[in-house]
Formats: sequence, structure tokens, C-alpha cells
Amino acid sequence: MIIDRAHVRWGIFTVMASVIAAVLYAANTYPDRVHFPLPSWLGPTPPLRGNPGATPLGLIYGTVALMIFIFAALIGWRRNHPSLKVGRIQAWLKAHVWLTILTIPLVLFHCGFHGGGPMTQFLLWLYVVVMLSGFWGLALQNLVPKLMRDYLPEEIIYDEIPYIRERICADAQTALEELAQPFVPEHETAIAHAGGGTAVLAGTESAASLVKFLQQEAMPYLQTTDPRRSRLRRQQLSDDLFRQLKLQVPESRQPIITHLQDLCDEKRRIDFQVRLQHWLHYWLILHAPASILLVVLTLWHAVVAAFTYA
Amino acid sequence: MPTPRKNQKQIAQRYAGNLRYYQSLTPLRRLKRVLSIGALVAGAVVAVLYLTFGRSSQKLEWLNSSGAISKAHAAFAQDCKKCHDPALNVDPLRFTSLTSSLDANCVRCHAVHTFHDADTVVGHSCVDCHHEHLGSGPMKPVANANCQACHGNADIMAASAQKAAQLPASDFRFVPRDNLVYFQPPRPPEGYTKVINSFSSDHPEFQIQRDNLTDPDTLKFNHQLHLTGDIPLVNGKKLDCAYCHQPDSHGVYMQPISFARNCQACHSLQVDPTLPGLQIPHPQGGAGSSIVRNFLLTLPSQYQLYATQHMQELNISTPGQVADFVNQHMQGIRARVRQGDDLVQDVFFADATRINLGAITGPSQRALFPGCAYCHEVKTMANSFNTPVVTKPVMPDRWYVHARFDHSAHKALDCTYCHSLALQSTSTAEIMLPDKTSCAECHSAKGGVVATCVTCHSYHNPDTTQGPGVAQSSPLRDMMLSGL
Repeated sequence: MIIDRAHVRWGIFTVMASVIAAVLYAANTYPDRVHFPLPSWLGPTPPLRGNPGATPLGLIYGTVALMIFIFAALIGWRRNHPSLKVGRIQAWLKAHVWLTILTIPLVLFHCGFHGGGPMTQFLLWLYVVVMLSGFWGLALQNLVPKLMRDYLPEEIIYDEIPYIRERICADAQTALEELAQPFVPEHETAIAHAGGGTAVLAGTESAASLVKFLQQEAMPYLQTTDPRRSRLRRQQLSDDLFRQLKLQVPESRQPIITHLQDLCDEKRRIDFQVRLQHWLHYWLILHAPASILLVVLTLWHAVVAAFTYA
Repeated sequence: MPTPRKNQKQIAQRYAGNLRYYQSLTPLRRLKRVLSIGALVAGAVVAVLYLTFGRSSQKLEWLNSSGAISKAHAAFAQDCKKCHDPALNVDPLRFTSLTSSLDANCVRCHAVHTFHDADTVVGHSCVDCHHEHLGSGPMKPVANANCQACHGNADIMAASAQKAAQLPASDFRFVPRDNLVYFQPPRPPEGYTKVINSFSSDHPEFQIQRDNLTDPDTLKFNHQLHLTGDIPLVNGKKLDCAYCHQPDSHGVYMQPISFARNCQACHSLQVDPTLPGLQIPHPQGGAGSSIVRNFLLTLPSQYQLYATQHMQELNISTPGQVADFVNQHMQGIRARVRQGDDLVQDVFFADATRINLGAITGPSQRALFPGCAYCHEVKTMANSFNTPVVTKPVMPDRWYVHARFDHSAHKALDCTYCHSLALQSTSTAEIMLPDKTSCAECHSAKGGVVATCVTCHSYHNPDTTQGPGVAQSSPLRDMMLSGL
């Protein structure tokens, strides 16, 4: 969700709704300082019990905030059912972002800037976790896609990454088998033609060392999901290594080395994409469960507050 | 920006063997889903368990408390039912039913709870003003907004004035149970229904100053003379306010003035200049005049009793010497007055004209008792004996029934900073309380000292022997507790 000009209306709505909520709250809580006549159905003036949450206005704030919580939690369900005709997902996302921002004044006015008891304090901290993780996620959603656009022109579908990795490994294995066949390096071939007799043996050794490098460094790098210990994770070093390899094989086999180098480059890009994707999505591991827990416990709070004691 | 090495077709071919990828979850999505479902289930299970079993458990009720209980109610902080009724017993659609449920539980303990004036037209729930669950310290003081909800509303004040006009005056007469003397100013016809928004802005002048009310006390006292006059030193010190006005045990108000403690050191009741120990009694209470009359009419016996008690001091050893002592002193008295009744008249009605005030310079002059009327109002009873009677002085212990004052909070100030009139006052009738302007010098936004309604006032009237609120059932009480 990139915050751009398309969000201006939502931003204005959120600011205006917050201002109206603040004026009503001030008029209800500080009628001696804020002379703003409230309709009588908003309850007695001044608010009861020093706890604005228990006043009609406070209950309205709390109820609206709870409804926004529920709506916001439904965003996951909406994204899993893209074909449903209940509004565009983009519209849902905008509403998700801005309505949850609106809950900040609503929650503060509902609780009257007091933490309350153990349950409400826990709810408040949970709300802080949800909102902070949400803002963190929103910031990443605005930053990371720009990085991906700039540095990952060949971005692949995130869900396809395991499959593509398997494909890369399979392709590399095939290339490796081709390279495993003995060959005579070109400079040794020239020596053999000049009268030497050890060229075939030397070519076999070159192939073996090449295969050894590919098996011990290239293949583990292509197979691993944690490439931090591999030299090939560095673009420059990888280029140098493969350049040396190409010097050790006949020209006919250099395309195979180039192919292997391309596979390593693709793997490197995938690893980078995975890292960015983790930044882009890992906050949801905290945000989503915390949000659901917040909704459930807020419902509990509402039920207890409304039906346990007067 | 790096350029793509592959075209879209080549990229697409990469996925050729896995086009149903979206049907399986990535580890990230799987983890997110597991945690979300876990949170949903855990939250739901805890909530259901609490709602099923926890509600009946006193130990778990605190979980849903809206905050710590104040010190005043800490004793039953764990017992929610002490104040709160089960919600199912009240009508959730009628907001006032919630408050009246709480109020009913408040007055179960606060049984002698008193209410506001009888002309109140809007009821308030206890919890409107007294806010709980806001911390474990003392309860928060009542906010100005609570008072201004009515006193800042012209319509409500007009309705209140209208209601007051239909009520008997006795409904507004408060006789507190604390046995203190309260100055009772006459209630204005419109009552106290002026619209007030703040103390410093539109709070009316105090009624004493506004109506130039006077102290009805009959005792004659000249503050100016005692504070600035040429008064002899007492115990080596010049008289000051604190010599007479001593704070009570709490330091909040002043102890009542007492003749023995505050006056007698200078104002001797010595009836005979030659006998310092023979003094006219100064009894308290309504029988005081008759005790003094009896003392004077039995003066020979008083001399005899005195001589008997001070024989060694007077160098007397035989009854004959006692009789001589009595005769000698009685002759001195008879030289001044013809008979006993004349002495009574002389003692009761003599006043400042009898002595030369300027001549009082030491203990011997202080011994001269000028007469009751010097300080007291003395009247003659309408009988054949023209019996003199001293009007009992009545000094108010409290000047305001509906306001309080804390001297200890003002002890940094000199007395005359507020009571400046004391330096000029020559008559008891002058009430030397500070006016509103004097208070507002500090108690205002400009002065920086707190100036809330409850700084001086209380919504609840003092505990009275009569008036609204005492009866366990009254229309006012019913209106208040219903929150209407």
C-alpha cells in the first residue's frame, strides 16, 4: 500500500473525524472550558465517574473503534477472496490504513487517557503493539517496493521461489554432469601436439578440480536458503571465480560455465528478493495475530463491561 | 538500474511447471496463519473460560476493573459487588438506571448523606462528582464542571429561583449538629441562584460584605484599641492577634474566645481594690447574672469566706479578727453605696465612664473592675426589683454555613493581610472578614492559587438537625438518587 495522492480524501476524512471527536470529547469532559452544546442524548454533563468510556459518547467511541478493529481484521479474509464483490481490495486497504489511524483518537477518548485496570491496560498495550507494527509495515510497504523496482528488475513471484530454486538446482546438476566428462585444457592440448604425453591425464585433473569446486561451492550455494557462508553470495567474487573457471575449460565448454554463473546470479537475486520480501511481510507475523487477539479481547472487554456489572 | 537479462517469455517459462503455486502456502504465510488462528483460539478460549467460570470468582474480578480503587474504598477493593449490581438487573437502555444502581449502593454506607439546597431542580448521581477507579490515592476532588453544570446555566438557576419562591423558609434553615454557633445571614429572596462561571470573574461578593451585615454579638470589643492603642504589656509582650486567636487542634479554625484565657489577665474582676483575690464570678451560661447578683448580695459572707481561706496571709487567727476584717471592708463598700441593691446596680451598669482608661498602666490599675456594662450589654428585667441581666454574648464559631476556610493553609500570611479591618475596627458589629477581592488576589488565574468551587464549598450541606436530606425518604432525596 503506497501512500500517494489517492489517499488525500481518506486523510482529510480521518483528520476531520478526529477533530470532531476531539471537540465532542472536550465538550463532554470539560464543559466549563469548552462551551459547545451537546445533544442531550449524549448523556449527562459532565461525564460520569471520571471515566469517559462509560458515558454515551465514550461508548459510541468505543463501539466505533471496535467495529473498525473488526473491519481491519477482515482485510486478511478479503485478500484471500479477491473475487468477492465487496469493494476493491485497494479500497479495503485504504480504509484499513486510515480507519485504524482514526481509532487512535477514538481509543484515547474512550479510555479518557487512563489505562484503567489490568484488562484494559493489557488491551491498550496490545493496541500499541498492533498500531506500531502496522505503522512499521506501512513504512516498509512504501520503501521496499521502490528498492525492488530499482534493484530487482527480474523479480519473480514470491510464492514461486522454492520452485525456482529447485529448477536452478536441477539445471546446475545437469550442467555439472556435462562438465564431469574428462577434457583436455586448450593450453595443454597445444603442449601435447608439440610432443608431450601427459595432456589427457592433466585434462582429467582439471575437470576433477572443476567439478570439485562446483560440487563443494556452487551446488551448496544454489541449494542453501542461508548463503551467508558462501563466497558466491558476493557478485564481484563470483564473477572472478567463474572467470578463472572459464580459463580452465576448452572454449566449447565455456557456455556451460556461463550458464552456471547465470544460475548463481539468479540465485543471488532470489536471495536478495527473499530478504526484501521478508522485510516486506515479516511484520505481519506480529501484526496479524496481535490484531486478531486484540479483536477477541476487545469483544470480551465489551461484553464484560456491558453485561457483567452496572 | 540493472537491466533485465531475460525477457518476459523466458521469465514466464520458469514457472511453467508450477502454475498452481497459489494453492500451497509459503512458510511465511503458513506461520502467519498458524499464529493468527492460535491467537483467535487462545483469546476465545480465555474469554469463554472467564465468562463461564471467572465471573463468579472474586479473585478474577479484578481483571476487568477499570482502575485502582481509591484509598477511601480500598477496604473492599476486591469486592466488586459492594458497589456494582449485576448488569442484568438494570436497564441498559436507560442510562440513569445504571447510576441509580450505583447510588443505591453508595447510600447504603453513606447513610447520613445530606443533599444540596431544597431549591435544587436537577438531580445528580453520586458518581457524577465522585469518581472512582482513578488510582489508589485519595479520590480526585470534584471538578468545577460538576458545579457549573447547574450554577453556570441560567435556565437551571432561573428554575431554581422559581422553585425556591414556593418553598417555606424553614427548608433553607440549617442547624448543624456540631454544636457550633453559625452566623446565619438572612437568605436573599432569590436565593443563591446567580449564574457563576468562576470565582474571580462572576462569583458575587460575599453576602456579609455585599449586604453590610453586622455581627449581632452584644459583647463590646474594640479591636483597634487592643491592637494599636497604648495597652500595657501582657507578660512582657505587646498584644497581638495570636494572644486571643489561637488555632484549634487541626489548625483549621480558631478556638472560641474565653474570658478566663484571653481577657482576665488584664480585665480583672476584683471587686475590692485592696483584695486581689476576691473576684466577682464570671460564670458561663444563662444563670450568670443571678450568680453575680447573689455574690454581691452576700458580700459580707464572701468577705468572711475569703478571710477564713486566707487567714495566714491576712495575719488573722481568731473569729473576732475575721469579723473585724469583714466589718472593715464592708464599711469601705458602704462608703460608696447605700445598700446591697445599689451595689448590684453599680456593678452591673457601670461602664467605661467610671474609670480613667488612660490611667491604667500596670497591674494595680488593672485591678479596678469597671463594671459588667463595660463589656456586656446589661438590661433590666421587667419586674418590681428592676433586676439587671447581662445579655449572654454569642460569638459565632463559623461565619459561613456553606463555605469553609482553612487557617493552616494561610499561615504564611500575616493576620492583617486578610483581616486588615481589625486595625481600624472600634465596634463589635463590624465583621472583619476579607472580601472577595482580597481572596481573589491569590485565588485566581492571576494569583496562581487554586480557585475551584470545592476549595471553599461543598455540594452537600452540613449534617443538620433539620432540612432536606436527613430523612431516609424525601422528594429531594428520591430525585437525587434517581439521577433525573
